[in-house]
Amino acid sequence: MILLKILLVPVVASVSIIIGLLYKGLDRILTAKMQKRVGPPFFQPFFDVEKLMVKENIVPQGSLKWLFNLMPVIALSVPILILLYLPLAGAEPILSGYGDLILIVYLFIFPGLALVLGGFSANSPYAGIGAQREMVNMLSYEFPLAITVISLAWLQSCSGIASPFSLTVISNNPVWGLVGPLGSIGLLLLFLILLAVMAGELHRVPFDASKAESEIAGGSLAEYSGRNLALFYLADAVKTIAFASLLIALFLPWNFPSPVLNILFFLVKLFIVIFFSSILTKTVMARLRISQIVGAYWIYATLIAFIGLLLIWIDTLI
Amino acid sequence: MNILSNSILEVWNPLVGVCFFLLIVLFVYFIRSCGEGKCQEKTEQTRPFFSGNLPSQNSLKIHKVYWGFFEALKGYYHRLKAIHNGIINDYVYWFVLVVVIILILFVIL
Repeated sequence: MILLKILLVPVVASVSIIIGLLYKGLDRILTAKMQKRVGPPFFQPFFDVEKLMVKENIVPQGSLKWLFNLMPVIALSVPILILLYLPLAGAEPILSGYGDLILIVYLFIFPGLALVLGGFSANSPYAGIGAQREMVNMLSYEFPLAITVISLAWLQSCSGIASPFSLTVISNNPVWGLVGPLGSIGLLLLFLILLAVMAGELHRVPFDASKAESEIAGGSLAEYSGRNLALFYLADAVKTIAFASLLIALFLPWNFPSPVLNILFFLVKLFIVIFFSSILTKTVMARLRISQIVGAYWIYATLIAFIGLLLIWIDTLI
Repeated sequence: MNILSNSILEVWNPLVGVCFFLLIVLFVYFIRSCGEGKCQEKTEQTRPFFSGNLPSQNSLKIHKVYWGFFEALKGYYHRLKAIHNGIINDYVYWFVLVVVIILILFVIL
């Protein structure tokens, strides 16, 4: 059994990279269409990765070479590890029982940390500023993320369900079935907050101050090139799939009996989540300043998350 | 003892996570090894990008490295610093207040 799980690791890694890049291509085309542009070819992300892999891997003078080269590897490895803990397309997680929701939330810190350390190790002022902004960004969205996760687990626990933090248990007991009308509104608020957190986690507009290309030359990635930049590019694609899969496991866990339909339905759900958290927000909004991002998450998002929790709590009392 | 087993209670098994993480790192290193590894060292292209602001003109003091971090959070530092007045009694009052609030929430929930 454990041998099968080991053999599935490169399969999951490869499939997640391919699907992540396909959704990136879709993202760019839809964004272009919404902005009345033609947009790149659908497989442009694949061409981008191919191009980056043949470019020179420049390591800046004065940088901490081992840290500079290690961080892209960490940034890509951790989202793949997270996917092993998530139920994908109705299937049992590969590492089911070896970790839960708390571990996944904890693991999601690492890609951002890789960006921070990579930026600080680059010996560049732009990368340093980008790394500082990324630290602030991470501090900001962790609070509403924690409230949302705790709220869902608390709801499961109140409903008498054992192991409320287990992803398998949460997927098998959809949260929408555990609440009445008031609680549904609370869950909807939490869902919207998690969509906003996803946009911050993936550095999408309006929460992309840490990677502002036009302002700080790409932030932490300013000095990255070649295969290192390709790994960060792939990491972004896989992290999108990972976070969207987490959202689906928490809020949209329904499945069909047929595995083929499940896979198709999962891809549709992925598209819906990515569309509302990434594509739509990127097209209609402008970038927030880093201080505005802190306010948006710590005040507004946290308040809305607390209201969601309150509504769920009142629903359990009724 | 089977170090890779998980209990009925579904407790974490960090060893399993670490083992699989190492496997994934090997796979990612394989992807990385498919790319070009060389570059022309100690040339113009390996110098950090300063956009015309050369370090001799505007050198960054070490205590200003986290300027961006503090600048982004200054609205909150301003309020937090005002609360921290150095009077021990006030710290104790805050502590008692927070404990009371937590106990009330604990009882209600």
